[in-house]
Amino acid sequence: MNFSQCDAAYDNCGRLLACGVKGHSVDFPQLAAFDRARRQFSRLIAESPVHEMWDDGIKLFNTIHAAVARTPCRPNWLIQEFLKGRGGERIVEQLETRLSSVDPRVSTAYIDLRQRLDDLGVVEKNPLLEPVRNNNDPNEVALFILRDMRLLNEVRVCLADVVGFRKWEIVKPAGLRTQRQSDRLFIFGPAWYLSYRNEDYLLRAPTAGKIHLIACAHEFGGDVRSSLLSDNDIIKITGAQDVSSNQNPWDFEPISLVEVGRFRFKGSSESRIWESGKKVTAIPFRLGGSYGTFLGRDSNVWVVTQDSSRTPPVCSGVEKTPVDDIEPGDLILMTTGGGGDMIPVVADMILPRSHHIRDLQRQWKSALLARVEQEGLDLVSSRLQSLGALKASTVNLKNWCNPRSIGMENLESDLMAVMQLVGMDSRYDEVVSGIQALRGAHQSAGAKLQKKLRESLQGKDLGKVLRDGHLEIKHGDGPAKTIFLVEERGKEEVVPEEWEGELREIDD
Amino acid sequence: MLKQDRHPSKHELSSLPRWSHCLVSVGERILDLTSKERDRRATVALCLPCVDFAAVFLGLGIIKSHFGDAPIQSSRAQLNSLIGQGVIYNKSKKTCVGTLAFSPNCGRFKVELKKNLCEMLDENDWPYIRPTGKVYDGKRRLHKDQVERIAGQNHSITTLRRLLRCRLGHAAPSSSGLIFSVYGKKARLFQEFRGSLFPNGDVTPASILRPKGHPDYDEYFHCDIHANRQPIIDENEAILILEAGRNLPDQLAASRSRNRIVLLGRNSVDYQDSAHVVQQASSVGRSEVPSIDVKLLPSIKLMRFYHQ
Repeated sequence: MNFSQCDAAYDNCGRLLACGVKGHSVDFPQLAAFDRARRQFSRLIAESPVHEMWDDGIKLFNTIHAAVARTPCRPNWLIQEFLKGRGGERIVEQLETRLSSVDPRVSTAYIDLRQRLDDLGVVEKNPLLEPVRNNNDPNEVALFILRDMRLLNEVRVCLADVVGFRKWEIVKPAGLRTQRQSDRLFIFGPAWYLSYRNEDYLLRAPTAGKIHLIACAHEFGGDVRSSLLSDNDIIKITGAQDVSSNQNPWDFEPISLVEVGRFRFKGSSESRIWESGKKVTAIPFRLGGSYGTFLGRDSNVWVVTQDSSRTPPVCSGVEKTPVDDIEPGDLILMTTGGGGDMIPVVADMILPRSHHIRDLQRQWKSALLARVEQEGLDLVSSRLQSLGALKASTVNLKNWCNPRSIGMENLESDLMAVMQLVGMDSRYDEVVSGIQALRGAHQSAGAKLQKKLRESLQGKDLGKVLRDGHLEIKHGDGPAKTIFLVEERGKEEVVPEEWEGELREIDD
Repeated sequence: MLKQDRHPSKHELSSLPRWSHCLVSVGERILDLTSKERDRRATVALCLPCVDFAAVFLGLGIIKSHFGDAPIQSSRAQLNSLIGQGVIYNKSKKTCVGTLAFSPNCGRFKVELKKNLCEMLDENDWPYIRPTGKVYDGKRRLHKDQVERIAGQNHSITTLRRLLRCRLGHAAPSSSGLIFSVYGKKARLFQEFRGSLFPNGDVTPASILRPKGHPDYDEYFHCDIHANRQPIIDENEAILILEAGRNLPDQLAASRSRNRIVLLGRNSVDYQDSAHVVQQASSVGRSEVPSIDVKLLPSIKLMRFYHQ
């Protein structure tokens, strides 16, 4: 942040404390009825011994409620998106086959809930848009908060119908930690939801002079303190009464807190053949685009610095930063396939025909890996030794299979043996010259790394990163790199060293 | 147009925003307090919209108070202290670099340039003189950018003196000694200390704060900057400025013998935990509170307590 931006931050804060946040409590009777029905249903399920499929049903209905209540999307579109687009229909079908075998109170509550969902499913326009329509200013810049970027296109279409600002953008909450400024900020959802999601900073450290908090009347409520050093500094929310009767409105929220960080990784944690068994202490990060990764606690990562004085912000450079200093809101650079090591990326910028060379690498390595998976490390190791390999120990063999290593030290005997084993001996010379070229390029890349990265990224528009959470950048046929927005930081864990920098999907 | 997109005009260079003056005042009061109450140690926690530039202005306040009581030396005395050292003389459109000397024949100071040339000075020329520091040893010429940088520091000091309404800065430092230390995001802090506050001006806080690690202030520094994860060096009594982060509990435990200022940024991920740590620390402190009488803006909250 430069000095002017810092000054604007104090200005915005002062204005907010003086004038308050504009609250908009919006009547949405169909959603309120659906909300009552889903809570009743959830309570009954909690009391009854039923199949775990019913918990999936609860999560589905809670998610639908959260999406309709806290985005300006069309309710009919959203329901179809969750049922057809995200597998909700399968859950509903399975529940309905079980209706006759559960407690009659549960089945009655479920039938009522389905009726409310159908009533909601014919609503074509979300009433949360009305306060946006009534608070336009053609001279101003506005930002709209959206948490689930999979809904981006729908939100954009819905907002385009009602907004009349000079400039407007849709951003993720984490993108506003570093004080991205605007004239007006629109947040969908009640104040208590901000606290629940640890997003109070949106009001405490406001990035706009005017903030609108738009929520459905049936869940409007809660407060945010401007300073946690005192109990009395509640931020004023003007224009709406707290009409919510829920004492614990966050019950039955779809996101549940987990012990380590607030997110889980999808997929198996089985080890791969080339994993050495070594462990490292790493910090899990949730990144934009529903990805996550582990970064070694004592390692460094490339951070993209922003020139936030432009709208949208642009890249002003790259800096190597200790992982321990990485916070939500930071932009980090990784290879699109995973990995914070930028040397291969820069090497490919300076290496002619890098795409062809990398492809060749992939071919012999995946063929070798296939043999190892089929026959086992020991057998392949002894086969290679019988073909003349001098250093085909199981440890080295694992390394040769690893896509991140370039190749073996001894190209004459060890590489020849591998080529013969996988039936690629006719391409031996080609592979050798490819490995040598890669090694040379990697060495040169190390020396030019920061300069090359800066050259390739300087001036890049970062609006998409702050909106979607990630931006892929390609140069010709070479491997792409991606700028990720760091959304959350978890607690340290001990993980296999090969997991460092690998991109994994988050279980959302 | 957003406020941040406008470059400051000449008029705006005549003043700093109110929040920065608040922080300067807090820095001044804290140094006053710590000077008077040597047998007690105080913690002051500041809750801010963001921690950016807070250490800069607190530091300026601390330095302002530290040198505030120093007797005003006459221009002659200050010129005397620089005899034999490399200096830059920069007035109007004239800039020259040489060694400061005194000519007993005519009773005037002069800047000895190469080839027996010299530039004669009056005592009134003191504000236009700046020591070159180590970069000039009388044998090598200074590069143009070095000259510009050092001349710029002179201009920076003059501007900051006007903005802060004080008489800091031109005195040749007589000794180095840490007055305060900052723990936080090192790269960002270095940029704030060393960069100009305004894009159109040349107003660098480092010209007064003199951070260690800056080549121009290696010999005479007033402060140093550390990354948050570095252990606190407890070998001196310099005031600590701590940007609250994950390490705050460890930092507070390691700095019980020091006076400290804790900066809590409301946009920080660790804000909630850090505020809780500070409140817990205050609950075990003494019931009497240090007197820090500063009028603050509503966006700045302050909590203070004696922790030892």
